[in-house]
Amino acid sequence: MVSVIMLIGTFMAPAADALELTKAMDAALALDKLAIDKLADDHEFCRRIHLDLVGRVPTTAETRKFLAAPAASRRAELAKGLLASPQFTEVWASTLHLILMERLGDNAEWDGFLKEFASSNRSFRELTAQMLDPGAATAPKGSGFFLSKRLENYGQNPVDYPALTRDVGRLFLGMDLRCAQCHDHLTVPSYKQVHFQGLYAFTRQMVLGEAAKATIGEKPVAGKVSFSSVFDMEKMETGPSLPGRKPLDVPEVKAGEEYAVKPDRKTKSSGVPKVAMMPLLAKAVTEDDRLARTWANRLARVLLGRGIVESPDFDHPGNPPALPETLDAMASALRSGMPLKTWLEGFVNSRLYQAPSGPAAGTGAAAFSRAPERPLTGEALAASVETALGNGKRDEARLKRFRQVFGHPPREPDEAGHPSVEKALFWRNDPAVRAMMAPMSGNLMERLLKLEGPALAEELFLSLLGRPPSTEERDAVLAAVAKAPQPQEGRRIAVWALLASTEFQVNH
Amino acid sequence: MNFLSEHRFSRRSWLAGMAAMAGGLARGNTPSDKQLLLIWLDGGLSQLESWDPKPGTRFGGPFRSIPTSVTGIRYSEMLPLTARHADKIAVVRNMSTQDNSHSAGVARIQRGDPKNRGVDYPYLNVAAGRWLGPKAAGMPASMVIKPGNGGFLVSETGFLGARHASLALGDGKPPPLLDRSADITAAEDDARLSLRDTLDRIGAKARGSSLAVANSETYRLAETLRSRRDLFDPSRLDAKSVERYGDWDLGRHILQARGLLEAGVRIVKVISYGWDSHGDHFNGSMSLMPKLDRPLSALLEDLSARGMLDHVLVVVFSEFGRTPRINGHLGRDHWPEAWSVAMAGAGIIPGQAVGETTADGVEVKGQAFDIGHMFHTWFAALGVSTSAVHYEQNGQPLPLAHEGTHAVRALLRRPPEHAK
Amino acid sequence: MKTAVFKGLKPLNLDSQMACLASRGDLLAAGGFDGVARLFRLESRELKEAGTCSGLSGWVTCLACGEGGLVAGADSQGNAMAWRGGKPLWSRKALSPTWLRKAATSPDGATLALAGRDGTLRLLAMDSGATRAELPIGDDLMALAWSRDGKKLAVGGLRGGVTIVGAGGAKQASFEVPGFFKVVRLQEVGGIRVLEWGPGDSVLAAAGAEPVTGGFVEAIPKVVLLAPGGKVLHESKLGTEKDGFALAGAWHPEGWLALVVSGQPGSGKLHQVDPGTGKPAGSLAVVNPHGLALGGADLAFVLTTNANSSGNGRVKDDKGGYRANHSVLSGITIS
Repeated sequence: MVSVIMLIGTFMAPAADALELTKAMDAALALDKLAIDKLADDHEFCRRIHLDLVGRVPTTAETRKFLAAPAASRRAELAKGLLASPQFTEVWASTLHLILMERLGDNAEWDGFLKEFASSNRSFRELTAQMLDPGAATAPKGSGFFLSKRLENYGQNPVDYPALTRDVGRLFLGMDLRCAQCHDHLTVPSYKQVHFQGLYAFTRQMVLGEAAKATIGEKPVAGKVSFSSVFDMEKMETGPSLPGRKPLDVPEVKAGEEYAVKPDRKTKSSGVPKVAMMPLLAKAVTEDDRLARTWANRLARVLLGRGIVESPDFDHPGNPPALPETLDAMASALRSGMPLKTWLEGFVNSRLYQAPSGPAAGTGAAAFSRAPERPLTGEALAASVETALGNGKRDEARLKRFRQVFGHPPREPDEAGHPSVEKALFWRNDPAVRAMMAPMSGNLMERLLKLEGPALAEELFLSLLGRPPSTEERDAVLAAVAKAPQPQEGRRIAVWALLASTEFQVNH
Repeated sequence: MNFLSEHRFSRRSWLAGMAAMAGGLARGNTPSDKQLLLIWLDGGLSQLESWDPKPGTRFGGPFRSIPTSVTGIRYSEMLPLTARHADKIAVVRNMSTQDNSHSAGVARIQRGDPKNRGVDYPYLNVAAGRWLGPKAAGMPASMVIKPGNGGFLVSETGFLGARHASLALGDGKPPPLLDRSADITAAEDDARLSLRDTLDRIGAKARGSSLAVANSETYRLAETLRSRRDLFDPSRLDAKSVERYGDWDLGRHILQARGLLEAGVRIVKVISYGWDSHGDHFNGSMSLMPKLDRPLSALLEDLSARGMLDHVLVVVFSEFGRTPRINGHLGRDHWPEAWSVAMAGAGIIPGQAVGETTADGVEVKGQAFDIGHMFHTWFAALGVSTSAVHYEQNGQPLPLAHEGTHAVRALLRRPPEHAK
Repeated sequence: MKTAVFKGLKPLNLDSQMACLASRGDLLAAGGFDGVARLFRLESRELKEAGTCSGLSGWVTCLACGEGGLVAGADSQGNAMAWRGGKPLWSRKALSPTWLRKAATSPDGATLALAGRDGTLRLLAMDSGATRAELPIGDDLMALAWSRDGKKLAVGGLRGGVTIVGAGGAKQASFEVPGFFKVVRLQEVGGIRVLEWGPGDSVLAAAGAEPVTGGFVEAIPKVVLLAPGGKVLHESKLGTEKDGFALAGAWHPEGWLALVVSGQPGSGKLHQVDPGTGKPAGSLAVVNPHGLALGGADLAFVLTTNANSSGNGRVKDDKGGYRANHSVLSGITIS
């Protein structure tokens, strides 16, 4: 997947509001008592931002061009250029998909919905409203996938309301209320049973249409949600409400009077509820301060390798953010309606994002003074292999294989990139890896066959790791190449060793 | 990103790190000779046709009970060979658990059901692997043998994450891609592995990469697996042993598990499918039970003869038992209310039946044990103290087993406080 | 053959679950899960309780009625016994080491044939219980039938084999009937569960199921009509994999085969099988029938399990206790 980023004009300053976000974030660092003593070097930065914004390592041409640009402005310019590339839209639609759907499944219209959002100037508030009220006239096709897939169950029951309720809380409010369904949360005092039940008062009316077609409807339910704690059995009830907020003032519907227009089998009309909950939920969530904070935290987590609030599902006073002021700055920008691209532009120009790679110097705020190793997703790894080896256009079968080996399975902890024997065996013995190593016109192997000595090592490292080798690395690689019986075998050994190295498989 | 914090030890030297991982020391454990063999009978073994027979009662079914090698303890006549080894076994007859569906029960029982934690706990084999680490250098901590596909069982790992996944041998066969492809020479393979290792070592030093240490360990594991093909090749099982253990998958897999334990795999889980006998249960039992009875008795005989019962804990369990009530399809349905598990070895006091059920098998009589009690007990038998150590998850301490339960002292030779 | 119309009569709720049903004349006997057989007498088209037969253990898995109110039976623990008027006549403890599954009285009433899991066919004197012959056949024997002329027996097993044995206990022939057996994972599933000789002993009905899965045991009920030498004349499936096994059968005086099939809890049918095609002509839904007996040309009896017999976890009765299942004996008119 090689493409050349077209830079428009010679110098592009960050958009004004992106610049404001960068400034606000940098200023907040001091308040958060985090000193980032130095920034990532240019090689590190160039590789990092490529992987983050366009989901692959840079080509050698891109790296060299970046290094040749004026030092004062090249980072901001590169960010802007990458944000304008078509690859950005694709990669960030996929990133949002992973955040929101956690590999529960795919849907072409949903993918289109996210791509449109990633390239638009629309706010996260609008995105969220469309996901939570996909029945609205303005909601694009595919926006219903979130609710329908989250409601669709996996085990014995066709639908799973507790899971949907939990996921709405997790993903939009940063509160995993799963354990507060039957009683107040045992270890998080601020998570109450009434919080879960108040959210459930919204979700309980939803009915699964066809998950595959991402359709979801409403079937009215009369009365309030009544519940009691399994511990004291005291009877309680609530109307629809977000955690910690007053229940909405909605007309209470009595049994038998749930419909404004009753369903009609003859006309196959599903009827019109007197009180539709999805629009109310969408309104309540998008007016809530926690939405922007949760989005900011989740986006930052993708780019920093850890949440400012970690885990992002447990935002509560007992688990405060490591960088509260910085998180506020990031959230405020989203709250003000800043679109994804602008926000990312502001973010990647911040000192926080540009912290140097290395092990954390401490915990809490200090952990953010260094950028950790972030294992690449299967998608990023596949694209990076294609880019680094220069074998030409994207190979769908290979992408599938990389996803299979390196992606995390649905409903499993998001921990792609962990070392495993399976991955070691893949690099060692999978025919797909072997096939990539053959010399082809213009590819890396062919280029390397024409090079010797330090130039060979330089090209190899720049292609795969986006940086020149250290002396020690250069010597090790050249020794291995020299020892091989044929030139091609020597280069194959070197390319494979770098592909299979830890550094190639992480962003740092 | 728990992995990163847990494995970050840039100040340690590469070699020390490698050695520590192999011995489980990186996780702060002392070396242990304890091992674990789980026999998971997926679908739910009937307590009434195994460990807690109730012949001659309303729900007792058609079969008899038989005496065992322990006076006063009777098993179902479906376990005649195992009954001869009752002196090595402890049966717990007062299990009472929460879930009567497979979708909840399979996971809940194997995760030990630490409720209300807001996280998915790892399965017992994964959890024990986390605390005990690999036993022999280069051997995996935890392996699974199961019918069907093999691979890495990520779904069992819960919050410990995929890197703790057990390697599963599908139908006992070696993992895919174990062998070098024909078009690469051993010399090239060695050269590239050596260079890869060198580069990771340099990277670990320069960038403090803890992932590099873990990564290199996986290459070492892969190499061990390749060199110990004999352990994963069902065709190499000794014919006489296959005859003794039974020439069906559960028989061969239990035999293979014994070999893996002997080779230094710390934990082996053998999964058997097809125990969900909702229909024609009694004909089913006559077909299924002998296929457990034979390999289980052979295993106990061998582990005992080889002195392995001193340090190998064997557990036979399911997601629940089966209903006393016999349905119209002559089946028994799911029954978490009062059922049994069996265990042996590693400091479990053998030759006893702990707990009891009422005469008709419907209720636990007296104290009931939930799966949490078993987790505390099994961890204690493995020398892991559930009161002294805990998981760290996102900065929160999490207990190894349900805090509302405790180890069953009657099962343990050494009281749980002696575990470290 | 005219299509039968089945109509259920008032059912009789029994106090236990029952495994089998046998009849001769106006006497019916049902074998219980409690080791006791219950006797019933048909009086004016109504069933009257007529005592019990005790002394067996485990489940009374098979019963056979002889002349003069003699009833013989065997159990799941290998014991056999006979009673007259509910009083023990003879008892053979541990006749077999394991489950005895099927009993059948010779047409002259003199010989009791027993077969079961140990693979042995046993012929006993009906009036004394003395062994007359033993023939090891192998397999788990699940079906047994005397020919109408009393000269031979057909014995069927789990793996789909049928053996023809002379009245003296000598093996005459054996053949396989395909499709009645499957190994699913560890479990051997299936078996010929029913054998019944048709008019003139010219046709042998073998019924059971084509197994689909173990565990749940899904199986498609199936009947095969065979020539005496084993040639398949007709073969027919009687439902889907939910419908389970044909468990009992009897030839109607008008020459068609009555079969009951029982599968997943709540399923079940009484079928009229057309001997000319092997296919069902008429049928009636009955819940989980395990036994069948004909009371002449116009009456059938089926032994069924109560409805709603299954469920995971604790199912409570009206008083909050744990609900047990029971059997129901139903009369069905045939017209």
